[in-house]
Amino acid sequence: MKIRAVNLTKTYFKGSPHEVSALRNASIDIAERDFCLMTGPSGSGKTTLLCLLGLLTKPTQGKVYIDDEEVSSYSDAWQTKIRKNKIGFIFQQYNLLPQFTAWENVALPNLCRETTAAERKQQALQIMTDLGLKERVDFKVASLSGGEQQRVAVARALITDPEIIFADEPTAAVDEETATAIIGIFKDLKQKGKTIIVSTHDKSLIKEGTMHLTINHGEIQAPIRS
Amino acid sequence: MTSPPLSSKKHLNFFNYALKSITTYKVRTTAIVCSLLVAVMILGAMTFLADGLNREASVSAAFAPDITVQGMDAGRVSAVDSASLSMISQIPQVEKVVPRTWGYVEYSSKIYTVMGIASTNMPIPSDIGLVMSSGDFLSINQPQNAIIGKSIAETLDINIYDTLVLEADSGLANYSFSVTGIFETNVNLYTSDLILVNIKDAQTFFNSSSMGYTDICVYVEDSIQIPTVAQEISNRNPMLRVLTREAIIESTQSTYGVRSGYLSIIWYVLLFSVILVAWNQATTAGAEMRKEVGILKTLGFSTTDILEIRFLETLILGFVAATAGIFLAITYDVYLGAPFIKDFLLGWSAIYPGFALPINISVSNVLILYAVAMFPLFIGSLIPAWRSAVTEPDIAIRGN
Repeated sequence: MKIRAVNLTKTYFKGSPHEVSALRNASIDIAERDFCLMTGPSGSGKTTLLCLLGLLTKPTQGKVYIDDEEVSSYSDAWQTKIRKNKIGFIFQQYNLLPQFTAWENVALPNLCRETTAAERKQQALQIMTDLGLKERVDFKVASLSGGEQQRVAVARALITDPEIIFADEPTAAVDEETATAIIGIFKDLKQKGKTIIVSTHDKSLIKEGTMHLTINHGEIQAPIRS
Repeated sequence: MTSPPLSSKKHLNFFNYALKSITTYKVRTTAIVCSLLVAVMILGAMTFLADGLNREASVSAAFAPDITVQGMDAGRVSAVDSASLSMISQIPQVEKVVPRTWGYVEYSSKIYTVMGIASTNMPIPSDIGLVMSSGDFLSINQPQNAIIGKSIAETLDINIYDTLVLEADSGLANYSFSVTGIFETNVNLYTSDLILVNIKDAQTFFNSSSMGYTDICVYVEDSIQIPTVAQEISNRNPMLRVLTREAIIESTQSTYGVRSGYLSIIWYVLLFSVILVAWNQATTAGAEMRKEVGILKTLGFSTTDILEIRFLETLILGFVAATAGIFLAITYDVYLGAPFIKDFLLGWSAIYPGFALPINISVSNVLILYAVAMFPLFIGSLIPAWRSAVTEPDIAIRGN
């Protein structure tokens, strides 16, 4: 799936004394099967751009297109459907739910679908085995290491086999071994033709991308294609 | 085991998720369940007792004759003379006129009602369900006999053919009655405090032979004519106090109604407290719950899905708390005797002989309790839940 952003601007707390201009007039074109990597210093607007493209927040100005459909002005319900059926997210801080076990977290996206627990567990088990988490299936996520938690988060993002994957600094909070494993997962996804958008500081990940964006002070510099 | 139908799988998933949430947010769960449980317990205890008393009062009033006539002296209730008995008998439509003499007597630090009736012509309405559990009803030919309510018999440990010795007003140190029968009624009031004797014995006991009767019961042939007959009695002797059965019922119900009305105010305060507690918990647990909502929305849960989960959580919490509250209310009323509330609703409980409280636990009462328990909880929980469910996932996760 291709994603296009036109003049995206995001201002938090608009009109208040704490107003933050996180992104200004950002325009990008991400083609289908692109592996787009975004870099830039902390607070430059990478996460905001990911959230805007992933329909997690509405732009103050500008538009987002997915497959030429202008989706940024869709209602909350329609945006939810797009997230549910087409998008997978991986967060830097994992954002797992501590009350659930590892497999339950992985299976969460299927909870709002017509599935039984047995079906969900079967699916989760399969993907967790692929990610080397077979032994951790029934563990509470709090008892897992940071690397394991991130792999659970990756499994959760991939369980619905989404066409677009967003990842916000997926290797920033994990050890080198896990980072390598996660980079391997992205390579596989790239091979499978998924559209991937990742914000990162990880140099070994940057070289895998097909497109490199640099963001600075809320502004996108000209993208570099490899 | 068969799988649930296709359309119910998602809802079953949400139900299980709601159960998990309840056990996850323990402080919130405990605060809501405890506050709601206490509120439902108090309301339930009040409702069961107040309804029981109202029912008791209504049935008791049915025991009243069509018209009760009392004498008035200087604006106060006094005895009614036998001349009035003759006067009332002559009014058209009057079927029967029955004089009664009754009063109160203290026995073992409790107050009992001694009622003298003309045993031959005193009608006992079927509503009362008076049955002799042992012995015989009063006979006019046998003086100094009494029949007593089963509760009195149990309280005072008196059996049939025993002698009941009461301190009389007639100047005699003691007045003995032979207990010839023990009765039961479906009205606790009568079985608990009523001692029925022949009217002549009562007049002697209360030393009131020369004063006439305590009141006169008038029975009318056609109930439609009751107001007309009552008016006619008043017209013929304006010094008499004439009470129709309707007036007695209204008076009794308004007495209990007003008392339970005061307690309703307490209930409103409790309801408001439940709303506050639920609201407070929904907002203080808010940061964590909002983040959870943000994550769920990111994963494809719709606002409706999230509201359904929160609705189920509230429903489960409310049901558990209300059920526990209702059971505690029943325990409080039935097994503990409803301390404090009983005193407030009855007023005279301090001097009245102990009797089984007239508790009325009806299906409609229980359903109303569930409904009123859920209402504040839904307001206190679902509005904050809706607010977080419509928040953009990015904002919810970041907690801005």
